[in-house]
Amino acid sequence: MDIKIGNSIKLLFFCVSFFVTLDAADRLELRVVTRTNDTAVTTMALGVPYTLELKVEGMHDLHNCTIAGLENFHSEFFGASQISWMANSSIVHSYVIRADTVGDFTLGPATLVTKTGTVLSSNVLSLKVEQQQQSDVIVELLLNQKSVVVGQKATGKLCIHTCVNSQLINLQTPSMDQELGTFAQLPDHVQTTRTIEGKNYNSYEIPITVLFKKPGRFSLPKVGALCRVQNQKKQHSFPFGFSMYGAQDIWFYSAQPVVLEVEALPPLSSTNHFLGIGLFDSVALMCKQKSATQGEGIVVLLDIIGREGVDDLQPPPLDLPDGLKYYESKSTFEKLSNGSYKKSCEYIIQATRDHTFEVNPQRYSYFDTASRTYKHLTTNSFKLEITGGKKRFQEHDLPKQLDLHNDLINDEKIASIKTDGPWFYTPERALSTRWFLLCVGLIVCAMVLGYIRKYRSGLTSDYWMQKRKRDAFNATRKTVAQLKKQNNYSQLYDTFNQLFKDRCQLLPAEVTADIIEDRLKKAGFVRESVEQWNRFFLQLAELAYCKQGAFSRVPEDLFKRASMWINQLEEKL
Amino acid sequence: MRKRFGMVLIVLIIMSCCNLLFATSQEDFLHANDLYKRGDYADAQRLYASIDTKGAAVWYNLGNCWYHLKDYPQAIACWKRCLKYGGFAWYDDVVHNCSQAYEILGIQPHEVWYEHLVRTIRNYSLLWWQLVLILVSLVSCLLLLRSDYKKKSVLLGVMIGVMSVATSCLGIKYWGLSKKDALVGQEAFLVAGTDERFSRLATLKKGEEVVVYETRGKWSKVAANEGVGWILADTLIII
Repeated sequence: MDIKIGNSIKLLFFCVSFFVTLDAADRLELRVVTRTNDTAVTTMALGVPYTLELKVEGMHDLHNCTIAGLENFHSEFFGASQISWMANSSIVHSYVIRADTVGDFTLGPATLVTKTGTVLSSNVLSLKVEQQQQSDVIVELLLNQKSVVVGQKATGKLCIHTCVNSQLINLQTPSMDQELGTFAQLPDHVQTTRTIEGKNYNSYEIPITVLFKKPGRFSLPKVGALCRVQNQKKQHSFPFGFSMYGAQDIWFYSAQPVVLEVEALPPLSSTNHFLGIGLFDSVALMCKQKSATQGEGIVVLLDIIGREGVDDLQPPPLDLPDGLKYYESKSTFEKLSNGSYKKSCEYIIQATRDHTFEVNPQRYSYFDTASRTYKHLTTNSFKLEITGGKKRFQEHDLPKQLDLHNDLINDEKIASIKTDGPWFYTPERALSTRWFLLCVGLIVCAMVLGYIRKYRSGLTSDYWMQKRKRDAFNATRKTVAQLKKQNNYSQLYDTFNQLFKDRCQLLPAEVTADIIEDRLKKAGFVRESVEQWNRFFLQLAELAYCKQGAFSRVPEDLFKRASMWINQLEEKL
Repeated sequence: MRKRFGMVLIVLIIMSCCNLLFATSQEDFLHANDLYKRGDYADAQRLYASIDTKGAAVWYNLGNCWYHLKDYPQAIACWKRCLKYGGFAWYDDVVHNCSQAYEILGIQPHEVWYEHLVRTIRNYSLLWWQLVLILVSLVSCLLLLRSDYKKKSVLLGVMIGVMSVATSCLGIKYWGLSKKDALVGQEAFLVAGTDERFSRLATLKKGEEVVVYETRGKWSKVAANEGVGWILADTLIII
């Protein structure tokens, strides 16, 4: 009964602790992390943005939460996210915070009053705001132009000079509004070493381009680099040159702001098509075919060669006589051996009637960035003879035909629609996580308890009986060998009694000559053998219960016969 | 008596409303199928999309519509939703269709060797796997307590093995339900943080599959083939 109550209490304790774990108390947590790698910090750099994370376990509205000490920082709500895993969920509110004064500050506790009226309180953060160590890392943004026109790319480079004891982790380029312009890094980075004011630096030079879409005077947003710097004050040296990782600080270094004057593009007085902004040398229009049939696609190439602004060119429009239509096709860009660039724009021309067409020279104007004036370029002209086709070409026929053709091909490519499948959604049925875990937990618990109970009871009775049964013959052999050494034949009777008791799992009172005889017969001993055994066993009994010396002669081979009987019994019993 | 009658009446009204709702949806489905067969993919797509309780067939057909309308990432997303919503019977068709769309997008889909196994496990319902684990636990418990000592260690090993397999299957099922797959709807940059100023880790191609970890503001943290980073949430199509 005691055991049963004990097990029930254990089971109850298991279940209660299980559900207590599942229903862990709601917690409010506050932490400041870097914006790059989510590392928690206690020291903030002056003027550098960090992320303040406010996390609550459970479903609570964090908008009503107040954070003490937040007024000492410039803060901005960044976003909310929800993390769910099985039955648990938590909500995280992120703020971007920045310290504008040096000193020691405390942030928190954050306090939240839940719907049930419970007041949750978070941890308190002690934050130290320090001035950045400017000398170890220098970040520079250099532009080649001080003034550009709208749509002209300003080129320059971003230089990051790092000391031996510092390491660049991440580069933060300015984020610009898409409508205002773009800031782009070019792939050809240069890595050199430099000496600035007697100090050696590793320098990374990254070519950049800036493009503004509106006129005005713009100060480029801050460019910065996040670096890991060895802190000499906090250095903890160990023997054999080891040093603690904690002696390194992560700092954010920013470049001095750069101002760029962006002027509006002057009005274009000529009627030519506008080509672009840059330094262009020539344009050429080429057509390999001299004649074609009506409706046939004719490939025409427009090559534009220049030294600046060629890569960004959009295919310019073509002026074609009536009866000719064109579609823009692919464009290619390549660098020529003389350092210039070439852009080839492909067009497909189609004739809607049969005629000999004269394609006039195409006239384009571009804004020359060197002279800051408009310049003009003209292509060659060519003739195109169109003969009548089999079917009279009609406007918009070809694109439709192409689409239909494409659709037919597409239809063949993908498997057809399903008309007889499950068209409505049936939500997935499942046991709730808690009930499921409860079921499995109870079964496992019952299994473990049952196993332990059975094992313990087995150890006390059944197990030892089985062990004695298994080891009966070996134990008897050992005893007989010892008795032989001592020449103690009187104990042989008890030894064989014990053998039968252990092997046949009998009670001491059950070990009688009749029962032994019965067992031997059941084990397959023949009648003669049984009779021989009876004589042997009787002899052992006499030797055991008669006085020492009552027998003038003890059989010499008694121990030998005992061993022989052990072997015979082991074979059959 | 009156109360009972009232209850029965309410249940009948609710059932009729449900039937009516499903009947309307089924009509839309059949009508959309006709539109699709006539080649009116845009209208078919609109009609499929208007069905509230979209099942596997609707998602599959919607994928076909997007394919013909040449929005391949949307098409792939719809086909994958078809598998998610019980259309495992059409697994081969979905794989074939997706491979066609990937080919057009110029993406080499990489399917790992255990993909089919995971999909098979995910095809069975959560309840099914829960019951399997409960049953396996129960059988293990009974066998273990009723067997003799000689076979116990072998039996224990076998049972632990079977239970581990069943638990793994259930874990995969839970993981599949909690995992948020998405496709990149338009070419976008994978950046190191929740701001465009952070360094660009890679450029994700249109149609590339990613796993969404979390969303902060307008940014989502994703795992792509190129690594883990942040991407503008607007560019993602959640499967």
